[in-house]
Amino acid sequence: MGILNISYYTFLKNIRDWKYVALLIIAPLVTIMITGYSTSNIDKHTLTTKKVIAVYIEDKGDISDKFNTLLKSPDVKNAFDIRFESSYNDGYNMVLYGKADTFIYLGKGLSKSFNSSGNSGIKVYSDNSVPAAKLLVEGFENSLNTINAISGIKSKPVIADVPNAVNEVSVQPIGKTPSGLDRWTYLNMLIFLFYGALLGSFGVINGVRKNTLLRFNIAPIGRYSNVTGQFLGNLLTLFLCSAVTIIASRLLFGSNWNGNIVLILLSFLFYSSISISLGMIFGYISRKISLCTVVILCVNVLFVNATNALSPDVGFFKYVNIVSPHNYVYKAITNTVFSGADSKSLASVAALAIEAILLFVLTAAAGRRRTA
Amino acid sequence: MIVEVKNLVKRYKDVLAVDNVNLNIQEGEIFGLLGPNGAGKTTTINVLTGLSKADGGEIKISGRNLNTHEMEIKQDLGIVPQDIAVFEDLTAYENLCYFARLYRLKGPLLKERVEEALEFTGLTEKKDIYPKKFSGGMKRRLNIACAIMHHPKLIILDEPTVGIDPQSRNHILESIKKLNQLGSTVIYTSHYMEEVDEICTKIAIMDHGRVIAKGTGDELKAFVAVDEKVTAELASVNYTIVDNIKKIRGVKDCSINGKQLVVVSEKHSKNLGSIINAISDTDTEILSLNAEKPTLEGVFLTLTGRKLRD
Repeated sequence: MGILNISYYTFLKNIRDWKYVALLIIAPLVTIMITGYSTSNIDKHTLTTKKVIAVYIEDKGDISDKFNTLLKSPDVKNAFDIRFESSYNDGYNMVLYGKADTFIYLGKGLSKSFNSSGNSGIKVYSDNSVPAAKLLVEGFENSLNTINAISGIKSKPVIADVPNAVNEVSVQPIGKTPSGLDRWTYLNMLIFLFYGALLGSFGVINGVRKNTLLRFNIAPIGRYSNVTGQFLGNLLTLFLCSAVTIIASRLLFGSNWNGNIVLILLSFLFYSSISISLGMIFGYISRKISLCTVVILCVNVLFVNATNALSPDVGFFKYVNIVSPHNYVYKAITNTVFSGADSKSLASVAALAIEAILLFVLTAAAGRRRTA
Repeated sequence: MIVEVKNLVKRYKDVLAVDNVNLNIQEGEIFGLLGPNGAGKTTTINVLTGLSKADGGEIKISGRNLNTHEMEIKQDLGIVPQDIAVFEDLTAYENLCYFARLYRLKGPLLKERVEEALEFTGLTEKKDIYPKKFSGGMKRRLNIACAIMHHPKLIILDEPTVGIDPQSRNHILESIKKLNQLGSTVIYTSHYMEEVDEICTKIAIMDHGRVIAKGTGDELKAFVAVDEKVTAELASVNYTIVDNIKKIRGVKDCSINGKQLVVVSEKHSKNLGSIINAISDTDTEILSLNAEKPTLEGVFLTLTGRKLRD
């Protein structure tokens, strides 16, 4: 009764404060709009991996010139990473040592030979029996209306019916890779919801400063009732803010939340719990609003930068990520939304749950002191 | 006996805040705890209410030991803290509902008690207003309302009239008398001796953590030798008055300063009539007359050698 009463009125006070609503709902939506849209196109290009093709043109004739022109065309440059080599051996070694997918060699006298016999003799070297570049060469040869001769390093020449044009277009599979918008939706939510820790800090510190804590200490309620009630009221506020932001980001910007919604909500529930606990602990220890704000800001910046969204999981960040709730939530969301790996997502949620429980125990211990 | 305090000791590190205090408060009393700032009044109250742990001594409230029956005792206590303790983001009505529920009030009884407390403190019209828009006096009244909804047997008010206007102060003092008439025992701490003198049936004076005197107001005033003083504003000056007055029984000193006559007499000399006659016999008109009785301020001054507000 006492705990639920305290939770209800804590929640009521929180949602009446427009500053909290601005910080926890409006601010993340505005930053999602700015950062999400501004990075969505950049990410689309950087995420595509191009095949590397090494080329050595020894021939000086008209056929070689035409092929050179084809290689420099926008379509081919978009589809392949073309590297012009200075000798046959350089190009061959590129394939041999795995630095290129394919080596295309236009030998000396190729144009002359083609003009006299109709045989181009362009050579394509690859450890792959059907390299992507083969289509490029075959298309070129077809356009010259000739028969090709293709030699493989480890296999016999392959001759195939091929289309007349080569135009490989990179396609990003929808919903399988986080777009800039998706990534920044998750990150912005994590950043601003973590500031929800201030709900906990301010509640504790204002209780002391404005003497309202005294009312609970003199009332016939258990020692843990006040701290638990305040915790639950703040948790409810923060969790509802996260739910509203999820729905709003989906409706307003089309952010991707197409994963297991239960796992997503659970991850945010535990994340909110961790934020509130940390805020309350800082509040009980420091009793200073400015100090709490600075500490929460620093912890937030560190954890956000350590997430897999912004940094590789190595070195110092690897150790930070062991305790970072931000990274666990990010992994939980991306695993269920983009990989469909609910078991991996569940592991992250379990880690969050353990962290949330430990921090709540610490919060209760910090908040049980008498205050007179 | 509703409150029994035996040999209470409370230390804050090296500072002895409460030093072997003994108090016995009868049911139905308005008990005043008087003393200057830092005398140990609030510390004593904090220990009585369970906010601080005593370092020594024993406290019994309604015959129950505070250490073993803390929850039951808290249910019977209503505390009005020195500083206003209400939530500014909740309306007056919501504040009262919030705190009433902490005392296990619910349903129709909760509503009834909240309305009653609002009525008692004169805040019914303001119940839907946030306390941040209240005047200092209204906040103080709300602070009191928060403490009385569960009809406590013992109400402790810790300096409830600090920093408010005379109208609100009178309202609060009247409310305290009314609460007492309704059956609550009241412990009232203050460093305003006039208030304590006006409403308290028993008084204990504290200084440096110790109770230096206790009794009714009259007992305390009688306990110490304090002179009575009469000041008269005269229409004209006639120095024969001084000689005549000095012959009156009990008069210790008489002097004229401008047109002001000051007569100092021994306590309980009951010679005011003789003084007035002595002035009238010289055909001198009295413009105003002020007879000063011994005050608690005087008692404190006599006991400690310093003023209460020093």
